[in-house]
Parts: sequence; structure tokens; C-alpha cells
Amino acid sequence: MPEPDFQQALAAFRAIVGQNAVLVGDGAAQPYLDPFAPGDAHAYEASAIVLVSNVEQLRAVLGVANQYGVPLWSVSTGRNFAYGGAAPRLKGCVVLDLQRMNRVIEINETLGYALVEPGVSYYDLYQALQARGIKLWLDPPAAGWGSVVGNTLERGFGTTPYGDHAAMQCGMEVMLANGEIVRTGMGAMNGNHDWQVFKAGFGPSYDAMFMQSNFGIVTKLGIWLMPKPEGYMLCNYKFRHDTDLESIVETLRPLKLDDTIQSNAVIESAVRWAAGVSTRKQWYDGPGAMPDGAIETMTRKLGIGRWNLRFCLYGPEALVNARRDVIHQRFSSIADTELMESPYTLANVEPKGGGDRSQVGIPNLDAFNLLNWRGGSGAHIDFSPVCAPLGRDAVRQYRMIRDRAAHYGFDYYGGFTAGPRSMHHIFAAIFNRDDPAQARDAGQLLKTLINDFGAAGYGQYRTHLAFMDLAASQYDFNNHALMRMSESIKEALDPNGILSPGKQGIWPRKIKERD
Amino acid sequence: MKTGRREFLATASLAVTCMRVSWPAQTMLQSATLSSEQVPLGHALTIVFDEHLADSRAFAVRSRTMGARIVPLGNDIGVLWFERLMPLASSPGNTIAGLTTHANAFLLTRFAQGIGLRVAQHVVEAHAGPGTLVMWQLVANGARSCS
Repeated sequence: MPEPDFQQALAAFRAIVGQNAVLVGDGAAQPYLDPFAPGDAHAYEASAIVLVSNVEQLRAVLGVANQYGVPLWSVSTGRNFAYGGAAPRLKGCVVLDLQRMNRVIEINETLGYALVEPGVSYYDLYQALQARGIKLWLDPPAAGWGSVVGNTLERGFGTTPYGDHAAMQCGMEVMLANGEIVRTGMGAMNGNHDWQVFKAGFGPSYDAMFMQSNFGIVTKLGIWLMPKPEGYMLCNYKFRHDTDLESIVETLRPLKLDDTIQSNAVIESAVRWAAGVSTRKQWYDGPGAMPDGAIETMTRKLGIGRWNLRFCLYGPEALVNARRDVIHQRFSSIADTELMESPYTLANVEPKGGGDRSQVGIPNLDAFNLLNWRGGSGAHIDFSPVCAPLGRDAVRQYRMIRDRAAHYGFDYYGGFTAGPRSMHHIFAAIFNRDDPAQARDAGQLLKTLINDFGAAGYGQYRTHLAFMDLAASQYDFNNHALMRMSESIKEALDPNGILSPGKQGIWPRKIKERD
Repeated sequence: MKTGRREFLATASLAVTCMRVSWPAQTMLQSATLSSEQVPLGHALTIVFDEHLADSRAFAVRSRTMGARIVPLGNDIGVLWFERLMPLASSPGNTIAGLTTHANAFLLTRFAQGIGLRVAQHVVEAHAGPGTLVMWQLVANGARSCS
């Protein structure tokens, strides 16, 4: 857009939100660059930042953006690391930062939900629950500093029984590009009190349309919270052989499907486990991916498995023990397996380790220890295909990633988070961002994997900015009919294309035609 | 190239206690643009240290003898930030510094940038144990609003 128009737009933004809430020039956008960019982070650099504090400011900012044609990239708190952080897909967008909209509007202990604004982090919500002595648990994602709204809209996940965040969402308030506010589900009815307890409402449901999309800006979101159980038991199984993966998944699936295992269950590779407690250099300092012999030595010395399964059981002690006995019996059929569990623990006693704390609803940041694995300025980008909980698919995906990663010199740092009918397979390409060759190879690896997996019929649930178009293009049934529908909706709801252009591969018509 | 333990501690401590002295020249600087960063005169100094790292512990002990307040990372870096460091960082006249792993330096500096603090950091070779550590400092100049 012409520079004079842009300056006028900035002046209008300042008039709405105040001088200090518009950041431009002099390195202002630097904190909004992707710290883990697999290449030049400036390729996704914002032109300015606007911080809004309420929906009135937001509506006015959208009005200015529509008037001048300023593309905005909305972020809740901008912690979407490994997938682009706060950086926009389209260079030059103005980042619309919602972190100042940070009210916990309601916590309902009786019905087990909270209603929050985008700037509320998992730490914030946890503190609110603690401060009020409310007997509800939240489900934190691996990185607890993120936004509840942001993570839920990205369909993030955690490791309690409420680990499917999108499934636990109930009711939204959304501002459309024209400034109109819409409430979904029962929230569409004045005077109704069931907004956060019944998702559907009357007629079509639209909540999912505002997840991983650019059709509107979510300004309030309801999230269900888990009643604090009487107690819990943390279980940690170690499997001796790399070839055990198929048996693990086949044994796990029925236990998840019938809810014997209540929490999301996490299957972690040896490297992923080791990266939480050690550095790569301690085990291997040569070129290329860690050889199998080095991984074997590492697992023995650390006392971990080639695959490691962790999950948590909740409830009264008798019920927990009964579940534990069934699960132990099933997994004991896998040779050389070590079945470990913590003693049954009352719910008000906190575990120490980060992964364990996540399973009892306590946000933490221990997952970032992986940044130390490779040495230097550690960074990572994630490859995140969906996998059915079938042993043959898990093994196939694992081998495809392991072999490609090794080709590019990366270790298989991966694992599966298993729900009842699907698993998130997450592989992190860890690199030293001060090493341009490593960063470039990480990007190249991700591209190759997305293409490989697309050809094999596997799709991603989420991806980094740099690969959004490629990941979206894999969803190609009926010559990309779903994307055509998304573009039609985009055109109808946001004709000026001001909201997050390019998000998840959805581009406004005017930008698509221009390019 | 690793420094000797005595040299490492001396230079590291010098960086945070002698308020007008630049970051240690002997350490391995990876960001030349930050090499002249200084701790402002008159600032109260808080040192964050990692109880699990010998270099970090020794750095903290040395800093304490020179008048700095020291704070362990503890079990949850998020709680540390929200309950102890952010209140300090949000009031002018405070400098928070530390010698930690890259991951912990990343987390604390991102927290700090989120409230508009100035951040400086240098990578240094660890004396004890494998890998590198990061020496960092956060300077409160009257932070903007925080989340």
C-alpha cells in the first residue's frame, strides 16, 4: 500500500489505542519475529504492532484497516513457537496483538467451565483457579505460557482427559471483519445462561469455522475444565526395543477407546525423553543423525526405553488401582517392558517434573529443554501429521520421518499423543539457528516430509507459517473443493481481505489474483 | 575454547557487579553488537541461577559477595517469572541477570520482551559440563503493560 496511506492508518490506530499501543520502527517488530524461523525471519516481518485493550478498540481498528486496506495478523499472546510465533504469514502485515484483552470473565465451579479473553494464558487461568480455591483443573499444552484462546483455536492439545482443547471449547464471541459481534451456540440468544454448557444452539454451528482460520477474531471463548479428582496415579512404561512401537499402539488403542486410560497417552522416542534431561553432545558428537548404537547406549545409561509411554489415572484409589491392574496386565505381554507407576497420590499434592505436572493440570515450560539438545541457539520447527491409532500406521510414519530426518542430519525427536481415535504425531526438527545451513536443512526437511506424507495419504493438523500453503494443498479431494469453499467464505465475510491473509493457506481473492 | 574456572568466574562476575564495565571480553561473544552492553549505574541487581549447574551456582555465589541478590530458578520458571521477576522487572531501577542454559535464557528473555524490557545476552562456553551457557541481562526502564 502507498506509504502516505500507511502513515495515515498508523495515525488513526494511535488515535484509537493510544500512542504507546502502536509499535513501529526502531526494532519495534523484533520481538514479533519468529525466533525459530527455518531461514530468514524477516521474510515474515510485521510492519507495525497494534495492541488493543477491548472490543470497542478492536472494532475501531478493523474500521481503519478496512478503510485503508491494511492487512492485520491477529495473535492472542504470540507464543505459537515452532509454528511461526507471532509473525504474520504475509510480510508487512500489522500484527494485531490481543494480549491486553486478558480478563478471566467467569469461572463456574458447579458446571466446570471458564470464559476467557484472548490474552489469558494458561498460567493466568491457573492462578485464577488457585487464588479462588476452585476445585477445577485446566489442561495445559506443553508450553504453559500460551493463550487459552490461541491454543484452543489452533487445536492444541494436552495430556489430561480434557486434552483435546478444541473438543472442550464451548461458545465463542467473534468479531467479524465488518466489526459486527457474533456469539455462537446458546450465546446467540439474549438472556440465555447456557452459552458455556451446550455447544450447538439452534441451527448451524460455526465455532469450528473460527479455528485455524481467518474468518473473524475470537474475543471470548468458553473452555470446559476438569473437576479436580480425589487422587491420581502417574504411570510411565519403558519399552526396550525400537520394534515395540506397533505393539504399544495396538495395546493402547482399546484401552483409550473404552476409557480405561482416561488421559491422553504420550508415546515418546528415546531422543525426545533424553532431550529433557541431557544434551546430544553427551551421547554423540559426530556428523549426521545419532547412530542407533549411540541411542542404545544413551537409553541404557539413562535407564529409559527406546519408546516410553506415560499417562495418568484419576479418581478414588480403588478405581485407579483397578484401572492400573487391567492396563498392566495388557502391556505385560510386550517382552522386556518395565511398568512403572507413582504411588497413588491425593490431588492436592503436586508432582515435580514438568510432564507430570501437565498431567495434573499445572502449566509449565519444561518442554523447552529441547532447545538445549543440539547446542548453540537451539530452535525447532514441528512436523505434525495426524495418525490413526493403528500400529502399522504409527510404524510407517515413524520410519518415514526417521529416515528422511537422518538424510538431512536430524535425529528423530518425536512421539505420539494418543486420544481414543487419533494420534498427534509430533516430530521436532531441532537446529541451531545461528547455523544457516542447519536452519535451511530443517526447512527443506519439513517441505519434503509434507510432500512425502501427502503422497502417502497423511495430512498435518498444524504447520509453520512457511509451509501453510503446502500443507493446505495436500487436502485435495475433488480438486481442492474444501479450499474453494474456504475462499468463498473468506470473500463473503472479509471482502477487503484484512484478516490474517494466508492463514492456513486461505488467501483473500485480491491478494491471490495479484500474486 | 574453554576458559579456566577462576578466569570464567572472575570475568562473569565482573560483568554484573562493576556497573560501568562491559561484558567479559574473555568469554566467547557471539553477538558483537551487544558487547558493549552495560548494567546501568544505580540499578539494584538480581542474579538468577540454575541450581543444577556448577558454573551458574558459582557465578551466583560470587555475585552475592559483591552485593547482588540471588534467586534460584526453582521448579517452575513460569512461576518464578510471574511471582518474583516480573514485579521486579516492572519497576524502574532494576537489572536482572543470569547465567543459565540457552532454553532458560530464551524463556526469560521472551517474558521480558513481552513487557518491553531491554535484553542483552552473550553465549559463553561452560567450564563445568558440556555445551554452552548464556549470560543475559534484563533492564527495567519502566516496562509497558504486561500479560
